[in-house]
Amino acid sequence: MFIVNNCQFYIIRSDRNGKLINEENHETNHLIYKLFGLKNLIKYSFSAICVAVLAALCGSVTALLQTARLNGGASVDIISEWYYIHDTGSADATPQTRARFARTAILAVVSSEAIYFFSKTDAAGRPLDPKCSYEIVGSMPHALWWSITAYDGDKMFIPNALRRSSIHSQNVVCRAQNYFSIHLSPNEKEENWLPATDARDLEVMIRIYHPSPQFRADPRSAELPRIQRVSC
Amino acid sequence: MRKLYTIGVFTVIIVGFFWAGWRGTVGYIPIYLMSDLEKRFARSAGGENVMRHIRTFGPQRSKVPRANPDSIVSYCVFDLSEGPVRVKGNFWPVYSSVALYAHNTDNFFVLNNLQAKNGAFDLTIIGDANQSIPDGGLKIVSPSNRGLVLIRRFVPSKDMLEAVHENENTTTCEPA
Repeated sequence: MFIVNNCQFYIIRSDRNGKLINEENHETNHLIYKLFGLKNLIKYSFSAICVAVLAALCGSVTALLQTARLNGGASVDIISEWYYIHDTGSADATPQTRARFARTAILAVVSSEAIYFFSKTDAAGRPLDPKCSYEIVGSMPHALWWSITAYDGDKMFIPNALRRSSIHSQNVVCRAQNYFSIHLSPNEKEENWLPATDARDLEVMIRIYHPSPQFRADPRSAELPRIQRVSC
Repeated sequence: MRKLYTIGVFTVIIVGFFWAGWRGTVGYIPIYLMSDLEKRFARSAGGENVMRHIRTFGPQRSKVPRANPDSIVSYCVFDLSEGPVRVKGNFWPVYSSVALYAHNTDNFFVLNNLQAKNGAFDLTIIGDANQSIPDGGLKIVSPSNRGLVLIRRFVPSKDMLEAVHENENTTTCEPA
């Protein structure tokens, strides 16, 4: 028989008939016993388990909230209104970056192959509004090809009659060499129209595939197009 | 003094379990989402180690967030439990890449048409670097037994669809 009483425990040995053979008294060195004693330990154990479960749940919920957004965390740089996320798809990415990308842009390739920027605001820092008209003006860094894609608040394509969700390096109409103006608007435009009709919220993403070595070496110094609000 | 110890122990428990919950969730999210994706992709392809080709042009309704509307993709869920898997085919000349993803979403290998010598790719995915492989194919060691092969083709115009389909038909994914 093993009996515990506060900081002491007893081992009582008896034969089959219950006759006492010997009794040993040991003082336990267990830290928790020393600190609290058994009665307190039982009392505190229940509270400790509840607190532990609650703390783990809070940690889990915090992780879910943190990884729901692409912007945030150490792997993000802000370049004007654009967020640049490094370590995409990389084995060197932090667990948080990996989780964030898994939730918001799964199957992204490593930055040697493609570089991604995205924005949810215009150049003045106002959230993009699907009811407003914007011009995305500027040029792109040198690359094999690039695209600018519009998504709704659920990160999905915006349905439209033209079935157009992007303007890319092969179909963009340039004003001058490599200088373009793309219309992100609910109203139809003659050229470079990126429809934003019937959208709930709005965000824009730039993909730059097979970027030049100079751009790849320092994407933070890139001059990216600006998103200018025209009317609302 | 005992009160201080109590507060100290409870603080350690709270911080420790909060961190454990946070870290466990953050670590599990990519694996959970990739498993789900692999299941859906394998189901639509008719199993693992089978290449599936998307045939349509333009933005498609999809469960993948921030999908790329300018690419036509082929994909294959690889499973190395029965041995190496071989992926081969011709690159689409405008732009194409073959990207390999581990079970935790890491993109552990990528090759594009500009890097390829003869406009084609021939990869043998293995789970163990010391594993010998049958003839042919660039040996790629996967960090996980399951994962995904994704072939992207940049298709700027719908007029190219027929040529893209021909290119898709050259790509295969099968046990080596």
